[in-house]
Amino acid sequence: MEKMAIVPAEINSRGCLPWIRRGTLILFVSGCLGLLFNALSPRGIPLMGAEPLREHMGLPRIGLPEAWELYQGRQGIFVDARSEEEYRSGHIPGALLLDRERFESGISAFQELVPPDTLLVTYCSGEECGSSSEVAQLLKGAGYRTLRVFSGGWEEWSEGGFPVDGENPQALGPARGQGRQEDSDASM
Amino acid sequence: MGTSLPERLEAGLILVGRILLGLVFLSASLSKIVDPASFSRAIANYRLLPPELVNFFAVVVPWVELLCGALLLLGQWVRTCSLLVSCLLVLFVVAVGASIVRGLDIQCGCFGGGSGRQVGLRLLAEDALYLVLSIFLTIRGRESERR
Repeated sequence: MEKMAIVPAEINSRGCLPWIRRGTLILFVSGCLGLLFNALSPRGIPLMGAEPLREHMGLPRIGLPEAWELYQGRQGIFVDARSEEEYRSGHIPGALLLDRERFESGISAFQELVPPDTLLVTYCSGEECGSSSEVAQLLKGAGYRTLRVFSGGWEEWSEGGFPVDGENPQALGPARGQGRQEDSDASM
Repeated sequence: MGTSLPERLEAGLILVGRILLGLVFLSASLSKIVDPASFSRAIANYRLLPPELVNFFAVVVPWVELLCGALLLLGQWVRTCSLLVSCLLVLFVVAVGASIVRGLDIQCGCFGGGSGRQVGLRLLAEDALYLVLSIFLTIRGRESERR
């Protein structure tokens, strides 16, 4: 650990300048190559605008009360963006499985079942997973116009004791209050 | 030129270290360069950078990895590159550590968006190991390594 102390001493010695010059050069060249390649590549992304990102972030997010309301009113279809394993273990009743990895292979079957003006509510495991937004973004690209991201996801839903379906729904969430187990198949 | 055992061991470790780091960073950079959108999503999932910076990061960082990886393999500018690699690894360790603490359920994006590795303690340990190696190279390596 005392070796760490050598670094500042060496940087401060006269060996300092070439290091800074070379480091800066590498960063500068990387920046140029990155920007150039991104501008020329067909898979390039917008730089500062972060467009896909802003859209991705800009999808309407809803909380548990709204999700529950939509569920009860059977106003839309829930889309589970988690893995098949997680889905099988437990999901919101009536939710359709459509994860990011198999989106392309699954979307045509999905489109046969679900007309494009349907309200879709995507969710993933919890507050911090990104796949619900990503799948919502992909669904938007596939022509679905009314999308909501249920940000609390499976965690909030199952822990809240709301209706669940699946082989072993308790395995993934503690399911504290088990008050509301009525009404087990909605939407579909 | 002393060739005592510790010196030879050290020289061997430096050689193995820079080739390992070089290969890791080179291979990690390529898939990110090819598919910047996936990498950008992976970065965004960590929720550390302001959204405006995410794409810029996703475009530039893989090229820093590429150049440093290549130079480390070639044995040129070894200490400069090790220092840059150390800085990157500090960022990665902080990002992964913060995700674990916050309980984020995300993919690492380390080798591009589709690599499918989950952020967790194993990944943190791996990054920390690379970091120790790159700090060692920064301190003990020579700028131009000749075999």
